[in-house]
Amino acid sequence: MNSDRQQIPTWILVAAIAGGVLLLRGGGESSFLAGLQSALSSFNFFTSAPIKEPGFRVLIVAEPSSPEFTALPEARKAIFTSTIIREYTNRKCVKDEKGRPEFRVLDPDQEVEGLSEIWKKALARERKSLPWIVVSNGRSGFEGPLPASVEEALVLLKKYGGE
Amino acid sequence: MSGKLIIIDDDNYKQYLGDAVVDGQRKARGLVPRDYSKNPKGSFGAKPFNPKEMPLIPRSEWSDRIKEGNRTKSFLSHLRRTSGPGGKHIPSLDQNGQGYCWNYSAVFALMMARVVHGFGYERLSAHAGACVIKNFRDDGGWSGEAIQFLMDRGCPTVEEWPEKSMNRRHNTDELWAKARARRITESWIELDSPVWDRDLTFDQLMTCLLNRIPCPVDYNWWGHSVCALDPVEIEPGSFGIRPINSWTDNYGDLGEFVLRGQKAIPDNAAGVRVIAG
Repeated sequence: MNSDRQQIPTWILVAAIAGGVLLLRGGGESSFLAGLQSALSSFNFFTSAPIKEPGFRVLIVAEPSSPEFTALPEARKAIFTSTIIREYTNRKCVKDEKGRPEFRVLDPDQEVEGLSEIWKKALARERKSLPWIVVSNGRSGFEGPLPASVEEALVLLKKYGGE
Repeated sequence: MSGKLIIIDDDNYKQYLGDAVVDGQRKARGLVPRDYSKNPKGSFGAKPFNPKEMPLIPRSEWSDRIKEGNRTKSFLSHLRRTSGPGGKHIPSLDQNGQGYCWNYSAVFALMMARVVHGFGYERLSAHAGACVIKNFRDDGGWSGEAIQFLMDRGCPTVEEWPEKSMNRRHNTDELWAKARARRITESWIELDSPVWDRDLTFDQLMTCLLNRIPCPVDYNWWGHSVCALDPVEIEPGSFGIRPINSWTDNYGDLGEFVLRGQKAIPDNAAGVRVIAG
């Protein structure tokens, strides 16, 4: 489920250049640049980041009162509340309108009424199992089973959130 | 008692039964033992602990799990120590000498659950629900009453209902409409009554805490309700819990202390599982 940024397909590049040339003929340099910018911005549509909005976000989906969660090895269970993970996400995640880092641990049956559209969409994404993690920086990301330990989780987060 | 590790057990509990004084101030309790004839298991709309939903973690695993939880700093008290204002600890609540411990324990559990879910720290007004439930009288109760209210109506912040205030003018429809955003949703776990099996009750509580589920716990022997945060191993094979009191940070270690032995087994307890976003 690794979703590193995809290569821009050749046909899109050709179309963007052709469009730019047409714009240059018809409207001069400023129109060319505007057209190119517009074409490039549309590439964002083709990124496979699980959360399209810019910025680093992390979602863990889990049901702490389930048999699956209860049986998890402690090393894995610790990821949910480890202050080592929180210290990183507090620094790296973008902040919401209330200034909270965009890191959430949500129940699969979470009442979504109070959630932002970003989290509603992220929570609605397909999952193959629980617990599940979604990591996104808006350009690329990962979604899949929760890593096996705090240390592994931190490596995954740093891959997309930097350090 | 500031900054001091307090361990209450079967040998020393009697010294904690009298009036509690913290830094010269008298601190109240307020637990009224649950009357099971009036409020049997499953009443209050509670979803009882279901071993099929959450199987008990065997005692043989407790020691290793506690060691790993401490190594990864992932128990609720660890989270509390870094999730407050400016990355410091979440300050203890203060029931202000009134008998509302049963609501303070439940509200602190809700505050911690919000931190676990990533909704951040907000200081909630435990006096609000207690005042409404008891019609603005300084009356005792038990945590099941509090949990039910938090499921039905939620809890305001201290900005919306000032801390320790018993002023009726705060009690408006507008305030409670906002408070719904801070509700316990979906379900809660009612642990088995120790009337039937005290070991089972303790195993359920430890399983909740090992799953990072904060638990309001009521103790009839103490006449008090507190919020359990962590499972602890005091000595090899000797287990207990680390609750937080509602007597300010000056009690114990920033409000936290340890209960072990029979004194750790609650007469009533609940687990705050899922909350509104």
